[in-house]
Amino acid sequence: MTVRADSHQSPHKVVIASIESAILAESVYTIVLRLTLVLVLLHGASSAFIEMPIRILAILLLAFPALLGRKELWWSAAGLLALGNALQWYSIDNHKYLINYWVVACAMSMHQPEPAVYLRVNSRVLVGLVFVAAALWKVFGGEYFDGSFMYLTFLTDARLERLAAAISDQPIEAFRRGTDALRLIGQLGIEQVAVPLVGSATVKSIALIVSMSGLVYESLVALTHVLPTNRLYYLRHILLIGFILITYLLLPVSGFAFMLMVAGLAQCRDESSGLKMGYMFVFAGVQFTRIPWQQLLTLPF
Amino acid sequence: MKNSLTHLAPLLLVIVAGAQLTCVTHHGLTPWKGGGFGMFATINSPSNRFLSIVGTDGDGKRYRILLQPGRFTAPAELSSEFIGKLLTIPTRRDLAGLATAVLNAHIAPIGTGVLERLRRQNLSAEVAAAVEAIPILEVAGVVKRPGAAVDLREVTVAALRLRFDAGAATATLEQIGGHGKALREPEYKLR
Repeated sequence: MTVRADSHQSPHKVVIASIESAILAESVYTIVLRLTLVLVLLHGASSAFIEMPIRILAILLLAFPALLGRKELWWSAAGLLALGNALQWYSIDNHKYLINYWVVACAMSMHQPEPAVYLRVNSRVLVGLVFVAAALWKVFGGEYFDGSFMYLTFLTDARLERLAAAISDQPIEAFRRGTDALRLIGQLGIEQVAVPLVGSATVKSIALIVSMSGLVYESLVALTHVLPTNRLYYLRHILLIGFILITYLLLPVSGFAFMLMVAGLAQCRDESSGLKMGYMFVFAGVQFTRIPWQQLLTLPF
Repeated sequence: MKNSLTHLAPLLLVIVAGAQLTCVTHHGLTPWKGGGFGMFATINSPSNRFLSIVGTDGDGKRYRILLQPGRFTAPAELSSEFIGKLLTIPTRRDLAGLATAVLNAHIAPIGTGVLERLRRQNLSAEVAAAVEAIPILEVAGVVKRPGAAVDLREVTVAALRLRFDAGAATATLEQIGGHGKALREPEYKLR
């Protein structure tokens, strides 16, 4: 699709308009397959010797549109990812597993009479299951539901100690003494010795509120994705986009953010142009997670 | 391809998550790994796990052995990759493997700089007493050579995880599962 240059339009507006036209003209299914390949290129491989064939496959599929629908190549990619993940199963981050499942879903979609619909359903179910698992761990894991995990994070995470010190009206040095002592007994492997940390009822309460808010939000994402009704279509997207933006600005796991973005986009109908553009903006925004801005919080101002 | 494998991807997720739960429950795997999506749900992450390495000499005297992460690339049991795996899923076999490697390693006193830094830290009385309770040595080489600080007869390795008492705002380390042990048989001289 070409965009005619209007003599009244500035050049950058013409470029933006052409980008928008290109995104809206392309089918969701094609965009999702291509973005999946970019995802695999950037975040898929979990070991060096798997990375090489994965890169070759992904580049082939991206560079030659005629190959994009070759199920054999997609199954090869899924198999290679599975092999790499199996060898490092105990150390890889969970989003590597999810990316692998997603590539399997993409490969399976090529056997279906309606590939886009198949991928839409699988995306919803996969995201739903991920958030169900995450919520269940938080409820039954024993250290999140009572706020302990978040409280300890406030007391020991270098990026949050300034905030915790301000809230509790305690000097930062007191927090650092606690974390230094903790690091020491960890280094020496000294068990059953209580290391005192800086306690604060206010920080504890805030930690509990943050914990519960996170759990409720994740549960809503889980519920809206597990329930198959179309009435939840827009709510699913709003919740998922919100989750991606809030979480991954704080916790820069760009692979997971990218994966969720692709999964969210896959749930868009072709006529949902606003949502398609929205996910593209999310994709652009998530790139800023690569800037280590959280380290600014640890600088001695 | 319409059959029971139609939703293969979600099925794989459920199977792997179930296997992960089994590994967490029975093999000490951290919930943060293994495909169960338990990250940020528990304090029991790999970065909150540590190793306890305790050596005993021929007279029964105990020593805490420090192993600096990333210092050695061989043997495999002293490498950072092995240690990382051990902290993620501390199997008895791997714990025993590390114990054997430490038993065969060159043990030396820790540097005076490290000692001074330890003593300068503003530690609580209980923590300071625990640090000073038994002598601290370190793995200084992968093979024992003449001049070693101690001739170890036994090494015990255990994985520890962080526990947090929110009420008291105190943190402790407790052992995960069993431990690994390596023994050196005493040499008998025939008269």
